[in-house]
Amino acid sequence: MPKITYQTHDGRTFAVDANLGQSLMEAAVKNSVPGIEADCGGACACATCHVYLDAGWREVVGPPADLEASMLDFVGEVTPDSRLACQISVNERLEGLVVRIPGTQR
Amino acid sequence: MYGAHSTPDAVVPAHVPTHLVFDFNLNDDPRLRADLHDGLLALRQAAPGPIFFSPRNGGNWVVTGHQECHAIARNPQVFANNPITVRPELAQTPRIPVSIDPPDHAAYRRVLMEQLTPRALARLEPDIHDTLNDLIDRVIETGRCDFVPAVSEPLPVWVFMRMMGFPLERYKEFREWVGTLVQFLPPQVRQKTLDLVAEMSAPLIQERMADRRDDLISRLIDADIDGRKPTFDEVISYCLMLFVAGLDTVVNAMSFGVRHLAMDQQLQAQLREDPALIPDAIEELLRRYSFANPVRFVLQDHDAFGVPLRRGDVVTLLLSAADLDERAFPAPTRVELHRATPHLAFNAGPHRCVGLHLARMELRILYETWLRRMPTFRLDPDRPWRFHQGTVMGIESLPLVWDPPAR
Repeated sequence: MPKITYQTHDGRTFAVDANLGQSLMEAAVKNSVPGIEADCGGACACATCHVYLDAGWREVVGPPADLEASMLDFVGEVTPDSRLACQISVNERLEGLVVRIPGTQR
Repeated sequence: MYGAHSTPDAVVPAHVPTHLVFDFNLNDDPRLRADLHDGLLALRQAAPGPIFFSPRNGGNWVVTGHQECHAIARNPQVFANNPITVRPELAQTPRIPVSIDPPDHAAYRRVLMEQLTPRALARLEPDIHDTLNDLIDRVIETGRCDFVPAVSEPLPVWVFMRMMGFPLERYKEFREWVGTLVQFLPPQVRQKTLDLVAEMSAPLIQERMADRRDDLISRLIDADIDGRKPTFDEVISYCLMLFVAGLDTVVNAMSFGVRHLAMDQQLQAQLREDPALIPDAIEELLRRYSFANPVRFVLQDHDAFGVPLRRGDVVTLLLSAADLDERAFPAPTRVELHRATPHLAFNAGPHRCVGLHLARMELRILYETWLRRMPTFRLDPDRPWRFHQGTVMGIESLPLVWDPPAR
């Protein structure tokens, strides 16, 4: 069960033992990590599960597919480290991943 | 007025406890006749709880609590937008994507999201600035205006109609049509207006199928819905959606916001002095004066809120009241720029307003420009405002006065 660390905008840290195959969004929501809204329940149709990958993780996690990339455009403050958490599937290589949650999903 | 056309009162269903029955008519409630949001506060205080049952308009649960509305909006498995499986007599021509439930809903919604990203909308900015400056030029020297016909109605409606490709010369007629769509009227009455809109849209779509233009109708024709193009009827359904959504929403957000600034000279001065506060003011004014009240249909029995919701029940999310819930927003009538809890003016869940970036952009340009160019303004003491109740509450007339700028 890879360990994923979520950092909130106001400086809190949540370490989660995620299940293989779960999305980063599901792992957060099921472990009561605040700040990930996931309005559409993981359908890649709302852009309210936006997270920033911590430095150095972009290559391991990989880039977004076209669908996610076009939905990321809907997010307010997008950077090259932006991802939609519902589109990242937990696998062994994500052990130790740190993601930062923006101050708002609105 | 609209009350005369309301669906008749229903017999209260057997499963509704007597103590939860409370008279509230979304189209014309006596409590709201003097002031919408003062009336909503009074309603919250008088009602038996954050969820009660009103026999009006065919019978519906009314939800005035913030956490309850938030939870319901985020639970499409139980609370559907499409009544067809449980209340087929209430179904009308679908508006895409609001009438569609998950899982089909997502692919339809993505089409609109792609057209309404901040980046896609940025190209509209110069046009919005020009239109607004022109509207201000027409009134600034006179020292008075009715803000709704002068600014808040034409600005977002023209921007929207140009974006869509709708015929600008019919804008007054369209505003009348949308008026019938935002009341809690019987489905047959609303269906007549939807038919008019569909009839108007069909030739526009056909023209663009032959000859694409730089407008949203053209882009909808070529949209990708999970690997296929939309059918003609689906493009019509998108047009119906956008018609309702585009023509009576930002108008009201602007009107309520400017009305507040006219009454709150301190905030008006503060925003003039420090325009960097405007984005926070936009959100807090949307919260303070939320105006859209969507409806859901119960798909399966659900007792989570301590009230017996049963399959087939109609539920009104009174977001305009939920954003005044003191449990979520202490001192709810105070305009405070840094509240912690997000508002529900754009709703929540899979159907959360897909046009919110457009709304925010227009509101930002309005407040920045109006405050920069206009002298200190206030409500006209001789002409009161006029407003209406309904599923989308709105302002029809907002007379303002100011001292004309010295030449």
